[in-house]
Formats: sequence, C-alpha cells, structure tokens
Amino acid sequence: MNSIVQTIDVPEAEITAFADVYGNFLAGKKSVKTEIQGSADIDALTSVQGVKTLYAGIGAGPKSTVFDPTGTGPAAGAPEYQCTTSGLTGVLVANLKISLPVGDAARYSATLQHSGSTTRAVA
Amino acid sequence: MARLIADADFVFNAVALEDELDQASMSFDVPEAEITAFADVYGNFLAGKPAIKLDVSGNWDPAASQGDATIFAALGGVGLTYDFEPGGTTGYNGMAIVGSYQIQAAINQAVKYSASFRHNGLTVAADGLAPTRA
Repeated sequence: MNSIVQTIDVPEAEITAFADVYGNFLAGKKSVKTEIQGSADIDALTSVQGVKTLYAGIGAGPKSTVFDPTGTGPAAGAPEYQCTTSGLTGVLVANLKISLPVGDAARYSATLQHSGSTTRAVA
Repeated sequence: MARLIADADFVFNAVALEDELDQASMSFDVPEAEITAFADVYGNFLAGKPAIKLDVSGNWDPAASQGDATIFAALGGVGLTYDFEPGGTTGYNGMAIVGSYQIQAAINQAVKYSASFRHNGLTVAADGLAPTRA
C-alpha cells in the first residue's frame, strides 16, 4: 500500500430561521470512508495479502480496520483510528479496483465504508 | 492600499492550529433570490442570509490538544469557537461545526489533513448571528 485517505463527513442540517442573521446549521451523524491504494501483489493472490483479503471482504459483512498514520500507535501522540467488528459495526468493502496495465506495475485501490463508530485510540 | 502576506492565525475551540496549517480560507456565500420582472431591464436580485464555510489544510499533528485530537472530538457535536485572522491581526470569530475531516497518508510524504467548518453562531452555537469582524 502507498496511500491511505480517511475522510469523515458530517451532514450539515440547515436550521436557518427568519430571525437569524446568518445561515445556521447543526451537525448530523458522522460518516467515515477510507480509501486505500497500492501495488497489487499478484503472486500473493492465493495467500493472505491485500487484494485477496479485500476481495474476500466484498459482500461479506463488516470487518475490523486500524488506520495508524504514524505507524507507532496507539499511544499519546500516535492515535489509531479503529473500526472494530461488532454486530453491524465495522467496515464494508464498497469498491475494489485492480489495474493491470501493459508495461506498468499492477495496482489496486479500494474504498472502505465504515459502519457504526470509529474511535480514536491513544492507548 | 494595504496588501498582506498571509500569516494566518486559525483557532478552533481555543486551540491554535496555525502551527500546523499551510492554507486557510473563509467563504461567504449569499443566496441570490431573483425578483426579475417583466418591467426590469436587467436581472434583479435580493440577498438572502449569508452562510460561511471555512476550509483549512496542513500537516497532521497527532499530539494531544493539537489539530487531530481537537477536530476529531468535535465531529458531530455542537458549534465551537473559531477565530480566523488571514494576516495575523484583523479577522473573524464565531462558532462553527465541523463539516468534514480528511487525513491523507502517502508514501514519502508528510501526513496531511484538511477540514471544513460551517459557521453557526456568534456567542452560542446555533444562535444564527453574524461573526464578529475584529
């Protein structure tokens, strides 16, 4: 893997009323999405590697993920974003793309939609 | 006419984020209600209620009481205080909710982040008042 982007979106529910001077908004429920990409390990398609794991996760219910930007967490100053499988909580493989261009490295990308809560662990 | 080099200060929930940020913007959008009538020569519009969005981006700092911990804790919550001073002096302050937060980790790059905030009050969250320009 060579890129991870985690995005947390919060719906902005507009509550602007006649008496308000400026636009007025409340925050809705958070939605977390993690997009990953990297070089596909084709030889490892039959073993436990990224592409095989992601492929097996398609339609297979929520899975646990950990995103640790520093690579040293969880600890103070090195948080881990965790989405742990429990009931309907976990991440769903929403998209998996494998690219095999002529004369270039095989690559893959995937989108993981978080269901339920994602926590910021520091210990 | 004065011209300022950006030396912005951006504070959210009393935490100064300018030591992480390398870009900050504030957008005022005003709905334009069209009232053009047959008798008008040109398009005719009235202004609605202004809305404000603040967008910031910079280098991710996971330390306690810095940007990451502060923004993550505010997700889905009530409006919190902000203060944006584009040149480091004059600026705007009010209350805002967090609209989005993105962390970007790429190979051989510093971990970056971006966030957007939606103004929703002045002294109390959702009071519907304008920001203060001071």
